[in-house]
Amino acid sequence: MKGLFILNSREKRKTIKEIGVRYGLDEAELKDMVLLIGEGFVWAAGRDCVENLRSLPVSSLGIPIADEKKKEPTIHCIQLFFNNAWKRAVNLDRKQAEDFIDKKPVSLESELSGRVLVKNEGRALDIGQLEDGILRRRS
Amino acid sequence: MFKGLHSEFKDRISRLTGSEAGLLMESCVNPPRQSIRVNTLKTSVKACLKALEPGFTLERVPWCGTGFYMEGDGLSSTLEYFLGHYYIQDAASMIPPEALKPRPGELALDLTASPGGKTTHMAALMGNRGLLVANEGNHRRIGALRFNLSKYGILNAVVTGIDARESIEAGMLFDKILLDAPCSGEGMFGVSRESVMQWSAGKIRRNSMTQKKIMENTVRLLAEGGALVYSTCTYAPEENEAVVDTAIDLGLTVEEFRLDGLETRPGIVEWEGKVFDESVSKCVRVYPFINESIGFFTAKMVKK
Repeated sequence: MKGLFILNSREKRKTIKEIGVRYGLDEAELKDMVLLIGEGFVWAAGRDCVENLRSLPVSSLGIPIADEKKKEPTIHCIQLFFNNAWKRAVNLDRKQAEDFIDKKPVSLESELSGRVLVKNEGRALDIGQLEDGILRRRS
Repeated sequence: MFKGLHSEFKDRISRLTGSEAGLLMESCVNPPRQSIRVNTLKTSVKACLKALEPGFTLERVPWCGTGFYMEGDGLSSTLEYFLGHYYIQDAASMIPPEALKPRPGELALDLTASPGGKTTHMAALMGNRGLLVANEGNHRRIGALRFNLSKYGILNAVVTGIDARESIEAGMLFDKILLDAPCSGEGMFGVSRESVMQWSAGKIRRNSMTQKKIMENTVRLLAEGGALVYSTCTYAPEENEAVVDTAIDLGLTVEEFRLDGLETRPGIVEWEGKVFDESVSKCVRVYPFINESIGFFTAKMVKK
């Protein structure tokens, strides 16, 4: 991976805050991870994974957790690290959740609007867009 | 009978399996049971079963603690599938990682990793710790691999795009290597008409040469005391025991392995006038009519 660099502890803390503070992500969720920047993404990888890399020419490493500029968390980041996040969260029942992942609009009574963390039985599914009581998958 | 199967294939299977040939050829025209493997990096077996049991019938795959036969419609349209809580995978494909047993903290390599079923299984056995190199030489298949590693929450893997037929400079030696070789796919005939249509004896010979070359390159990457599992989804001895025989010539030792509830046939030691090292009988042949899976071949070898 060309142009990939590891974030130091200060940069890591700042980046986690940018990715998750809006949704109440606990920084501890990513404490064992090494965060890296490259190819337009923030990546998270296990520490021993990075330490053992040496000279291997890699195409990718760990998983992309957010886009580099906006710091919008990826769906895989949401599902892995956001189960305990709680701010701006809406909870769907199973039927609503199935409609949501099928990209069908879901009617919802909520005072929230804009980007919301969508959950089902405590499991983070993705970020959704909530406007006028209608929840949609982000594009 | 068994329309669509090449006559030369039927002849080879008769010579290879004797009285079981009819059963095996019948399995070539019938699909195996559907199965899944629970992704313990994102959920527990208990929680996943609890979520799925209202809509599906589940029965444990005997040789894999996280594997289940799953009956019902819509396996790939559940919330749990969306969340990466299980991987849809044939029960026989669970054999190589279970035989290899990569452990947390080890250096492991999956040489032909895409789309990632066995890689994600290895990562789960490693508890997302250590280093797992997921290599895929076919660059068009890397996207699917990267997607699945992300979906299944694999944090200890790096993806590389090295052509395993070329000399591999990894700069490290591995404790565990999985070489699930590209093959003629005879064991997939029940699920892939394409494999049936593309079958030819010439293809088997060409595959065998490629597999031996890949094996030569792979053996060099294995650490002293390390283990290598070689697998294919085909029956052809040229692509199985003959390749293991090459690995033995290169200094590896075949090791017997047993998995609970997996009934197998031994590797064959002679085929079309060629006699292999007798230890290839420790390899396992998995036939669909016994285990309700695709057809498979697996060998475990160690570098002493």
